Amino acid sequence: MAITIRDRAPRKRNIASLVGGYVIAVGCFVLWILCASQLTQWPPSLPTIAAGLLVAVAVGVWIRLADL
Amino acid sequence: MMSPRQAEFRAAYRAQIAPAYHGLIHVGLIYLIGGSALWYAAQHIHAATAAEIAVIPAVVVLANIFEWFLHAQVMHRPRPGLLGIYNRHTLAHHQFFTQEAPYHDTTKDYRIVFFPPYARIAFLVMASAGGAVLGQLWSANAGWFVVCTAAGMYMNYEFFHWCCHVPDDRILRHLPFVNTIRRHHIAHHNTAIMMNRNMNLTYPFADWLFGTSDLNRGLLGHLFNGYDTRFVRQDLPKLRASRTRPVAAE
Repeated sequence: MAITIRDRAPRKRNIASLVGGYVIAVGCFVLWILCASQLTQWPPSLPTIAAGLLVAVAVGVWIRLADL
Repeated sequence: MMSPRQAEFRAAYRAQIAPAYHGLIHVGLIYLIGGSALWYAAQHIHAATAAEIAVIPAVVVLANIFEWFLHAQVMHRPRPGLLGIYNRHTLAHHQFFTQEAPYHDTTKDYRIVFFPPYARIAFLVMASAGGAVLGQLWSANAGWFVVCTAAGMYMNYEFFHWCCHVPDDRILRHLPFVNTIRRHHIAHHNTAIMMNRNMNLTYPFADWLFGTSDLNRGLLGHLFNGYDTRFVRQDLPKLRASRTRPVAAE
């Protein structure tokens, strides 16, 4: 990673965190659904799916914001 | 003793870490994803035979060789299409951590210690594909064992690597395997040998197997070497005066 000290220049996020954000959101959602179906039933209930979607989006967005 | 160049690099790197980054969330995500995958796969294993259980050591060995290969041939070689990994590891991680100053200061530094969490997903997908193939060809239990073991080995890798860069070794120096890999990896951060020695991050099996260790001793000696420096090879390149024994943080 090229390192440069920036003073007032706007922080530029890496493309990897954009792709990674999508990848981890999809991965987390799939894992959530699989675990939920193991703990409850297949298919999981709508609230469970919605919660999984929320968590997945939150994780994906955090990856992008944290530029990880 | 940290060189001015390393101190400058650390300051520049830290200045670039996004404010939203938090080291404990980073680590928590890795272990939550890995732990969930391991738990889910383990739920599908029923009445395993001895042959199916033998998949575990087989995957441990394969994962060890894969870890060695990835480190030696991708993380330390500028391969087209994989330059980001080379940059992040050889150009950043190895400037941030040197053999002389190999320890992190705060949880913000976890950004350069741990892989990004999506790497966890990528390795899980690979292990699942391997497990699915084995499940189809032989037995479902064996396939799930592949996923469980691979998920566990990844978390093992991250934990051991973190142990290598932790300043306080009062407990770690007494833990078998952990003390071995700590000396092994800190020696790897010597710029004179980092491109082709000590590529394992869990157990130095593949380094022993392929002759890329900085030690001159057998397999058991490699695995349980601890901090012992008596067996360090004398024919290694020396770019500058260095020590191979881990020391407490300054």
